[in-house]
Amino acid sequence: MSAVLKQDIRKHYLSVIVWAVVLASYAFSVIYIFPNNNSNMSEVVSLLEVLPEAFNAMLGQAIFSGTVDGWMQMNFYSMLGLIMAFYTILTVCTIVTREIDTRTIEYTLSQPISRATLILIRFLVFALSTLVIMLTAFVSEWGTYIYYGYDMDITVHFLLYANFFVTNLMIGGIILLISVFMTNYNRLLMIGIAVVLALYVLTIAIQAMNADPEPFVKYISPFSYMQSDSLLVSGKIEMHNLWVPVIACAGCVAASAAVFRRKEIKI
Amino acid sequence: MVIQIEGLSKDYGRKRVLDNISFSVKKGEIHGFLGPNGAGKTTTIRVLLGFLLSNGGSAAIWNEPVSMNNVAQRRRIGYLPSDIAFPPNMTGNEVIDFALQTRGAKSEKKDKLVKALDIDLRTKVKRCSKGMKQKIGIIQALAHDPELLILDEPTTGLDPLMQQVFHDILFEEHRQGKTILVSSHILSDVELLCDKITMIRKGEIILTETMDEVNKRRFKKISLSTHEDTAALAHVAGISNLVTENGVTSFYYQGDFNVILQMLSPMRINNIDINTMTMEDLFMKYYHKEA
Repeated sequence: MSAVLKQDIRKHYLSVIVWAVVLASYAFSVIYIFPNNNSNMSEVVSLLEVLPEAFNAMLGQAIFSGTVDGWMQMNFYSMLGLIMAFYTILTVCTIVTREIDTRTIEYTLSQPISRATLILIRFLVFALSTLVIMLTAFVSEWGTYIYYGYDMDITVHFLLYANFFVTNLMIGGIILLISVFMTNYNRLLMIGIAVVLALYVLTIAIQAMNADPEPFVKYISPFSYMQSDSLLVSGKIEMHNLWVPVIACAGCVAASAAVFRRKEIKI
Repeated sequence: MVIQIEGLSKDYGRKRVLDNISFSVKKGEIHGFLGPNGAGKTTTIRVLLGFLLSNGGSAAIWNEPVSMNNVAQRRRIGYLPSDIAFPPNMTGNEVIDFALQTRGAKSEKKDKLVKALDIDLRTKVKRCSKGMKQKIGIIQALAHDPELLILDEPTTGLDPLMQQVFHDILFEEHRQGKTILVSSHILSDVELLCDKITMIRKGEIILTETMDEVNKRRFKKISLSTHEDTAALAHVAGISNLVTENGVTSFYYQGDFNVILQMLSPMRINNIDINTMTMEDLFMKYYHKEA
């Protein structure tokens, strides 16, 4: 078990470093270019006020606060979910499907490792990688806030990152469940990207309607559970935005392990 | 029995690739598994390793049915796949160490094998030649000292010198009482290494015999240069395909040598060539006969 863990950590550590540096730099850059005098900020707010209400709804209402949090919401948090979703696709697709596609699965499965253990450990490594990347981004953001002397509510920002983290795990679980039915890595990547983009656009469309849709419609997409704007404004998180993604992720991973245990490896 | 296969069948869609095959491998035996491409050798091995499910019959290793998740069984098996693929970014060392670590095995035997096969394991797999990958595959299959070795086309990509080294390694494993199932196209390997062979053709077993039994079936091809009448030889039991051309009589003989020597002793013979039918000849004979 520890051999699989070590092997998988070794496989991913370089990409984790790259993604962590990119996200940390992105968070720093966004705060660095924050228009830190009121006249500049008021110009941005004025510009946004003339845009349709639906556009503001898509960006999130926090922007109207005219604060660094609002600026971050517009430029960073709204993209963070999508960026991490792409990392998730690229990583989760390697758990089973790429190994089948490249035929290395024969070597892996000839070792005394149960298939369920293999899938669980590899998903755990993905979860840890995501955690490391997001923690790095969080620390970078926190450090930049302190450096520039801006106020930051640590609890709210921590909850925000926790919310993004669990939602990303749910996306990972969904991609993993799709992947155990597939053997072609490139096709799975295309499907994963298409599914994530479709869900992201769907979420934005629901927000743009600016109505109060039925819960089924509201929570049909995993991105609906990312609650950064209202969290920044109200300072509170609706708990179902944390536990639903966790349960959905656990369900998808358990189902994936069950399917993979009986999957024939035709290579 | 270490391996017991009874009435095993496997379909890929509508195509039947294994049709009711049965054979067994005894403890301490080197068992050759022969057949042309697409005959079903690799499919049989993949069912044994739990990569594929059978559509009928049974396969057992150490009297325990094979399954996709039998970790305890796999701990005691060393497997070398045909046309091997390892994670490209791992080094040879990492590939082998992973196999050792998953079994909690020591690396003493690895060091011996590395020395014998003369390979630098610091190279990443993606930079290795086919022969190097094959050596890594052999080491990862043998390094944890398994009780059962399942080797699919093990000498592919090895140069003649390394093939000889590999034969020596396999003989050593045999001496230690290991059970070995080896699938191969190279009949000279099989002839040299195996105690028993099973031949498969289009998913059906056409022969399972010990090498002694196989050798008894192998004809001698005899050519005589003589001016005497050899027509009477055609009536001798065990002689077939008798042809006389330009004073040279050729025929196949299977049976007691003393009988044929007695028949030939009164004749004035200018020259005689006696050749044993090659394994290739024997297999071609079987494949054509069964076809």
